[in-house]
Amino acid sequence: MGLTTEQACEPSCVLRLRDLEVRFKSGAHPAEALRGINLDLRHGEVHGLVGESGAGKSVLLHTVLNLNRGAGTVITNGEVQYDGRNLLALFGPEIRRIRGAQIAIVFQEPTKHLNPGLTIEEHILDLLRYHLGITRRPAAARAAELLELVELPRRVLRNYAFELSGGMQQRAMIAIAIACNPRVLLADEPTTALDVTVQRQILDLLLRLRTELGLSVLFVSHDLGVVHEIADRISVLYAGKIIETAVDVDLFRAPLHPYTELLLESVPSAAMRGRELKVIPGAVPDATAVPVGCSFHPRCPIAAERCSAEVPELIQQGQQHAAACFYPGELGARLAR
Amino acid sequence: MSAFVSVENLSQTYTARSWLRPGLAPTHAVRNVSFTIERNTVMGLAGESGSGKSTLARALVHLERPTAGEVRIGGIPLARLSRRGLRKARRRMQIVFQDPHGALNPRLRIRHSLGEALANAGVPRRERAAHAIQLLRLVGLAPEHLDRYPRAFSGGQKQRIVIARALAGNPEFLVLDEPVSSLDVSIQAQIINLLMDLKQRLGLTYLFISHDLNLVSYVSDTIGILREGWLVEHGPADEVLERPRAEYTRALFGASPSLHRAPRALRS
Ligand SMILES: Nc1ncnc2c1ncn2[C@@H]1O[C@H](COP(=O)(O)OP(=O)(O)OP(=O)(O)O)[C@@H](O)[C@H]1O
Ligand SMILES: Nc1ncnc2c1ncn2[C@@H]1O[C@H](COP(=O)(O)OP(=O)(O)O)[C@@H](O)[C@H]1O
Ligand code: SF4
Ligand SMILES: [Mg+2]
Ligand SMILES: [Mg+2]
Repeated sequence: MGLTTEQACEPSCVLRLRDLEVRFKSGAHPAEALRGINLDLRHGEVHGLVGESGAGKSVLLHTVLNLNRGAGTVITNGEVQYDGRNLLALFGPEIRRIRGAQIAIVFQEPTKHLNPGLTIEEHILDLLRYHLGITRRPAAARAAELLELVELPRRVLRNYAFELSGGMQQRAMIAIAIACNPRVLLADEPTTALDVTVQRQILDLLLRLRTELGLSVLFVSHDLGVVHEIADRISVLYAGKIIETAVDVDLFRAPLHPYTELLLESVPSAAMRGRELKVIPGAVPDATAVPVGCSFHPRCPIAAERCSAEVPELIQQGQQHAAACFYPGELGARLAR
Repeated sequence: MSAFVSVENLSQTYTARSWLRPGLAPTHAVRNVSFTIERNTVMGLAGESGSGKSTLARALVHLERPTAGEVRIGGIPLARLSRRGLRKARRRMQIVFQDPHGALNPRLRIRHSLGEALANAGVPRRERAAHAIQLLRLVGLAPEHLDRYPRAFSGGQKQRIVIARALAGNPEFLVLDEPVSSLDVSIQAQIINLLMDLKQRLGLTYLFISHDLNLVSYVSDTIGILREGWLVEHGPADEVLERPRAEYTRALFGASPSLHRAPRALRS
């Protein structure tokens, strides 16, 4: 049973991506950024999305909010189901009502996405006025409350983004994102540029807000360790497809897809001292030249004939664990042969 | 016998000479740092952004003359060398930086990038082609790569070429400043394995800089932790990992995400 079937998505989902495809047409070869994504974000859950650079993580988040801009044409197929509607079918003003109010996003580099000419408070007031029609005085009170929520001193309200440290910028960005009490928070590598101690604080903050505000979070990162620290459920993205989805514990204890398993064993750590790291040969494919069949087959140590001809679907492999591989969980056994 | 690399009371202070803000306080990027590295071992150096890791790296090989202190490599005090002597000594110690994209001249074929480095190392012209092929093989690339331009290579391949170029002068000591940070997770392991293999085969000594504590734990024989220019921790890797002396080291390792930590659901 694939995740694509209707009965597989639970009523507790806030956001559902169905057969999502995004293609950028510019130049001779179109970039197949997303090639059929199915993903359920459950209520109150942190869903981690891991993948290497170019896997399609940012495009996926942008697609949810219809933010994709390309030099050429952007072709989008499939559905983003939210609140009984397909967000991809909404017109400009309709999606703008949802963006930032019900579904908010935070980025890796806050300074790129905050207006340098506005103070943090002005960002918050603008949002509250636009989305909720709240007037200045109650909005200012709300702004102060938000700063408290993200543990920033109140004076930061009068600061511009560039006056803040990286960690403070990220807190401010989160305060702005949650200003209108969104149900869904999209996070695109929000801690990648930060030092580990600050990263830890931001992860803790997101987890606390999730509980206190009942947020559902789609958290994107290239860092398996970070995703392990924050996510309840994890999806692994490779070349524009989800190749494995599982509850955090299961993914790390019993990965089923060869890519996931090898990736986990290629991460250096104190526990690996003195042993050679596992290596995945070759490199991540470019979105303009995704291999046919299983897109991982040129790098897969157990690839068989059918792997370069047929596309493995994301198939349920027991409770809440799905993998897109013809030989799930067989890496060790097949290598030993 | 004395250590292969010895650093004594090294300091690097930057005084901004700005007419706009004449009273600007100097930056003490590295403060009175001392340590030694034994031959054919790896010293890992970690610390937060701005703690002075790259500054220490540059001062160590005298790419920038340190404000104070002494560095000896293979027993030779670098401060005593003339500019020419330093240039010669520097062949034996190379720095590899984080970003392989900026490190290679985009207009030079790999043959010429490597040729230049070999020429600097005093390899006669007619032997350079053969040496270049040897270097490529050493880092896992093939002779047909010689006539390509950098843009034809992935980040991981570029970093291999940068490493090959660093090896041109038969160095004994490599300073690796975040050598895999800009690479994809699945490519990092390839380069780390390559570096550890080269160290073994060529008897190299490394100063391995990274902000990634898991990586530093994996590669190092000894570990140093920098904080605001001070070397707050330094010792054998096992000791630093199991019984760190500085509270700061504990905090840093505690905050570092780990795959080997129990999942959150199973923690308190
Ligand atoms: N040429 C320079 N002039 C003035 N200040 C400098 C110079 N180079 C470095 N600094 C300062 O010295 C301190 C240490 O910087 P350094 O680049 O060594 O840090 P780092 O540990 O390598 O950080 P990162 O992890 O971000 O690479 C910083 O405060 C930096 O701003
Ligand atoms: N605006 C665009 N025009 C053309 N190609 C794009 C565009 N945005 C992203 N892509 C391509 O889509 C793929 C996925 O990109 P992205 O989602 O940014 O990856 P990441 O997983 O690193 O966030 C990449 O191959 C990228 O080059
Ligand atoms: S489908 Fe085949 S090539 Fe793809 S991961 Fe599974 S075994 Fe490897
Ligand atoms: Mg991205
Ligand atoms: Mg640095």
